[in-house]
Amino acid sequence: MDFIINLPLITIILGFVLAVLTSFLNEKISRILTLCYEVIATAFGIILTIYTMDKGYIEYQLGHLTAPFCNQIRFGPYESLLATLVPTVMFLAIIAGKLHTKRDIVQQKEHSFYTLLNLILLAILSIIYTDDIFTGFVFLEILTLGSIGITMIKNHGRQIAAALRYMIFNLLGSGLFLLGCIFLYGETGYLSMSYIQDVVTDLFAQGKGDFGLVITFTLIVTGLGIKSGLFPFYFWMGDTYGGNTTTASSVLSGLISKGYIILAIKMIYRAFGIDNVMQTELLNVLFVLGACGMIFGSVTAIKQKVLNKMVSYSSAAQIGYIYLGIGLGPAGLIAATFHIMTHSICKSLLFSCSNRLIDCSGKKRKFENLRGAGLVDKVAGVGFTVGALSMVGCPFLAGFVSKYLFITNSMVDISTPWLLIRAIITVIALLGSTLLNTIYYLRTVITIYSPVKKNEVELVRNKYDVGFVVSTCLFIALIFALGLFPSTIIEIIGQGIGLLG
Amino acid sequence: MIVFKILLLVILVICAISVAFVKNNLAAVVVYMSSSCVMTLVWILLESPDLAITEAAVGAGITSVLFFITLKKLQLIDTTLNSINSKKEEGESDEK
Amino acid sequence: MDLLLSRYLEAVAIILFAIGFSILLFNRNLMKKIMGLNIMDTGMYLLLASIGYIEGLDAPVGGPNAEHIYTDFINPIPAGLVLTGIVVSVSVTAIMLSLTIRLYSRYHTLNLDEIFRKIQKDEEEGE
Repeated sequence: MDFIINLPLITIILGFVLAVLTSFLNEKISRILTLCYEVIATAFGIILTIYTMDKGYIEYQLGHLTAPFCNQIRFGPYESLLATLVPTVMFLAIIAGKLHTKRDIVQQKEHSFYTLLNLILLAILSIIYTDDIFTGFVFLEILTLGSIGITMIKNHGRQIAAALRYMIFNLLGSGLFLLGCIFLYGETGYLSMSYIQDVVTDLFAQGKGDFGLVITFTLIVTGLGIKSGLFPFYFWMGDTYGGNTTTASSVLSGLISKGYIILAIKMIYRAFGIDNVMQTELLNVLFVLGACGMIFGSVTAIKQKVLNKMVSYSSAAQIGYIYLGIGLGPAGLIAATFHIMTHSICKSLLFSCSNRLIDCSGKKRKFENLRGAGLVDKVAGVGFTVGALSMVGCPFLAGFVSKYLFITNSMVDISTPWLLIRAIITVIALLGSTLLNTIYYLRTVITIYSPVKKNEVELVRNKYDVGFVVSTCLFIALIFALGLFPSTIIEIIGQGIGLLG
Repeated sequence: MIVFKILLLVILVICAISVAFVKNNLAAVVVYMSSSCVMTLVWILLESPDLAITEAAVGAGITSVLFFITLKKLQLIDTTLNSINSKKEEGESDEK
Repeated sequence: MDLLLSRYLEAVAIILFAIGFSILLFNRNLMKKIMGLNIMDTGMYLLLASIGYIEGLDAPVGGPNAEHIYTDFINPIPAGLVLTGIVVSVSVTAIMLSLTIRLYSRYHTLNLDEIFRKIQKDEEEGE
């Protein structure tokens, strides 16, 4: 076999080495090493995507023995595409937030921030590539610890309380996930996903699958749903994503919640088997919770008076979109994956621009103090506008393509009455949520661009930051690229999903 | 042997419930540490000596020491004999 | 009822999980929440080990001259999983305790309700 199949393992090991190195080097070298690691990881991801589009999926064993006795990595086009997206977004998030990182974090501790970012990237990549449920659990815990570290690195009282509340919910979710994995191991006797799927299919064919396996599925997906912000469990998002430094907010809302969702997708499609899951009602429950999340997340966002919290609660609505897509089955998964990509890019852009706009108004975060900020800091204003329009679903931007995919893929199969009702609910929820998104995003865009009168609060001109300008331009370029030329990506996703089960 | 096993498990459940209801922080940590020691015995009865050693070192050792260090840093333990009673009352009103 | 009595190990494990879960969720004291987390994890490890345990067989340890007939031993895989889990649990406990120390040094209380009340008050005064 070629050398290319070693690339995922090399990426993960490089991450470990860098995480150790950055824990004692000074912050300038740490930042340069982390940025280099992300560029290398993106390049490897692109190479692997092109390679696996040709050769199909590849199973790579880690040790001298084969699969059920030994750990294994499995990757196809789907995993490689996601493994390209994640380092890109993290790279752009780091260079966008460089100034704020220097300002918010104490000088001596800044290199630990890069250790945590390396650990987070490494954990998400391992979750994307893994083929073993317990390896998934271990890297899930590493991701949790990394995200807690990032949340509490700004030593402000409110942040630490938010980190505590976030951590409690995360640990509840981990506990439920581990319980589900234990039950799954007890029922099937294997830890490797392909073998588990065979046993589960046998049990369902014999008709014994009803009680125990349904509870197992429910525990696992509920645990991961609590961690990523599914409908009733989203109210911690405002404090956690909102009050942080730029890079931390972008990474938390753009990448970490997606890591949990990717693990849920892998469990549903690889460990349980999509045919078995469709015989239970699990996907319908996810669909309904996703639809509720879309509406209620937007309603909560409208009620906010602070810019950062509004952007965080709109994340809850977008995660509702993704779960709606997962609940629609394999056709909806294409739309959900495209929306994962769109949302990571747009949300990181929104957070970096909104933090710059808040700087403009002298660190006050309420809306009335942000009036006219877009005219002072032009790049941030343009970036925020493009991100907001993409979230709303303006044509030629990436958000439009993902909403279009949701509607068309929900209507692929409308043979039975329930499927017809499902398609109608999708359309209504999408239209309602778009309307609500428009209300709060365009209200903000109008506020930041309305001219300021003489006797109101004065605005400060921001320091010019090359990193921020470069990253905003690249984000906007990516949004336009996904919006104008989506067909290649959709084809890769479609082929990848076929090879996923 | 089975009676011993069931007795240990019942003690484990009683310790777990009493952690929630004990008011003093220090007493709760001691109850937790004792439940960890009982867990060590349960691991031995389940024929896993490696787990028993790990639980003894980690659960009854490291975790409980971490709890005690935290309580010391928060200054909720008083080491002088005279004010143990008054500190206990302060510790009770602290987390009500 | 018969099934519950014959599988008492799993029953106790789930009871411990439930006790730990409810302490983590409902108790207002931070130290008790961390202890609840540890109890919940202990319950899960007991469940995992009970999957591997077979009545009457030995621990999976062999001497230097013994013949290793695999049917004489219990299943060793769940023991490995429990070890990993215990290590993860210790790291999480350590981080939670450091968070508690930071919160206490700022707000001087271990009660979560009071901390949020003080944060609300600070926020209203600040903005």
